[in-house]
Amino acid sequence: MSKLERLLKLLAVLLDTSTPLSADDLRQRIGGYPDNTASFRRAFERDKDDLRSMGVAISVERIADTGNLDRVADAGATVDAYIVHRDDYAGQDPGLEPDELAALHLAAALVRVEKLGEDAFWKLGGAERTETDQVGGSVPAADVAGQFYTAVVERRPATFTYSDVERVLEASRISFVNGHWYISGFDQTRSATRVFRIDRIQGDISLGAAGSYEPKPAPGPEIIRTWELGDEEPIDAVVKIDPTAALWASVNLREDEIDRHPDGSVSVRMQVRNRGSFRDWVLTFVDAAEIITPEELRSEMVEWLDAVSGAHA
Amino acid sequence: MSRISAADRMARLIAAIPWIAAQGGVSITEIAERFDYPQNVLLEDLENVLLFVGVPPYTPDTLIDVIIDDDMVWIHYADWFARPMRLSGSEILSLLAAGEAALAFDKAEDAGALARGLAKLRLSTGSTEETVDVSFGSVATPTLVRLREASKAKRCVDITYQSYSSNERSERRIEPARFFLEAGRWYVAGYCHLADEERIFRLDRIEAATCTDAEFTKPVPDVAASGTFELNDGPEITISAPVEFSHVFEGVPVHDIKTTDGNIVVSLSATSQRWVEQLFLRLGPEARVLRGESVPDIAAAAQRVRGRYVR
Repeated sequence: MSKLERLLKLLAVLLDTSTPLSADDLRQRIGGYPDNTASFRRAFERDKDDLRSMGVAISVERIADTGNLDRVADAGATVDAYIVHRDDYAGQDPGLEPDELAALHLAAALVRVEKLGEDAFWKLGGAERTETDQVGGSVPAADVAGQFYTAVVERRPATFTYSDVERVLEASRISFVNGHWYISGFDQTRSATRVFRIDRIQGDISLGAAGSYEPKPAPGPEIIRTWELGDEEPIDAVVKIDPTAALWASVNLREDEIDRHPDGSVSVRMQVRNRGSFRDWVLTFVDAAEIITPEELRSEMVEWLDAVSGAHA
Repeated sequence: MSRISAADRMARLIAAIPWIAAQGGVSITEIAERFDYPQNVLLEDLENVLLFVGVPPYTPDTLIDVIIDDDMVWIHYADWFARPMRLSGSEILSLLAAGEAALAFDKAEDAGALARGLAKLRLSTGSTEETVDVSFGSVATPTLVRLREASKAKRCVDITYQSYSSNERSERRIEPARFFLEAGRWYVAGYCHLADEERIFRLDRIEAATCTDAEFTKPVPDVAASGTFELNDGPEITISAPVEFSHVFEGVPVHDIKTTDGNIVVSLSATSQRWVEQLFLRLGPEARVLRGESVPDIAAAAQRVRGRYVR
């Protein structure tokens, strides 16, 4: 029996069964596995890995060991048993009309998203080949963001390490802003809403049980404001920006945070939770911006500028 | 025809089965094209594999029914594979990102189908614009429409541009040759009459655009070969800075970037003096110029900013 046939049969049996099946059950039902038990085990593990890497969600449960033809089970022993729940396997069909699918396919040809392959389109029924203008650049891969997508939609608490602190996040919003993926929600560890840049998460993330929380309104990171991404004691600041740079400033801020002056300059009010990022943002304007208040942040800026000027003197 | 692995064939087959079953009679050629399935492999998999797939006891009533007549294929009783596999979270996000980026860029064209497709995708996967928010900068629609039309017709455009690097507003005539996405923003590149060289402009910083009848004076550069734009619009400069300042270079088109001994070493085009100044002001006292000519006076720049803090 070919590997393809065996994989298809394994998947069909796992989808068809109403109770989880042990490896021995599956070996018997599918046939086509090596006779030697050790070889069977290796082939079976590889098949499971292949199905999983295709994205098939195989659920594992423990059931009573009933032994097999060659082996009598110990009393009370249990074994792993496998099943693929149909609703885990298949999603809801979005019901795309051919022109909608074609438009989406064209979009993916125009804007390259790293690691987005044709297989996503196969799952939507496959799309006809398209030709389009090629534009440069791409959107970074959404693989870790994809895990957060599951967290948000299924309301599963996500545990991960960020800035060397382990967080448990009730994730409620994923954003793609300025070329990066962000996740925001209620951080149980800090008892406050937080925004995290996904590519700065250290190590793996793990997800808890579905339906564990009611999503709380997340900070709306229409534009991610780096000076708010921190755990420092919040401090209010006002920055004045010259007319020449006023347009830039407003890109990063909400209208209710901006006071417009008759000469075209603006004063912006910011809540700072990350002083390093705040300084960084102010300095992007070079001499077209000045921290007005508080005095504390002004003198920190002066110290920084003196250090830079001293180092390059 | 290249060999494809069992897992690759499986992925195509379990996606193709529900589609073929739903069509009721479809040609081998169409399946092969739609699912990027080499025809001979497809035929082999349908005739010699799928026909034997089912569940115990593998009697005809428990097997998938595949009928192949000439070039046409029918599939019945593939109950287990009646629906395609669920899209993964990352596939959904990637599709939404590609779609939203194209929508932000291509408002000029018939965006109705794309917008409808994205809405359906959101609806079926349980996400809303509240929970998944993908943004690509706010480009003013009329500006974009004019630029794209001018680009297609190879006509010059007069723009008002809020330049970041020179910190001023300027009127310039440009030849919009190419559009590209970088760090989540749309840009247009092309010959600039004011600068008398090729320049790159961020679309959301173009305040106004007026089409002209003037034809392009320069050939459109061929970027198909390299795939990306060469962002060489200034002398190269190599900078070393502590690695914790790497974020300063994010979204900046760099030529080369590497990390050694806790330092990040970056080579990039110094597009303007002011732009280099802001990099060094942000990088702090430990940053150094390793290579580069006509580097601005960083100490003077720091003192200029410092001057604003004298009360």
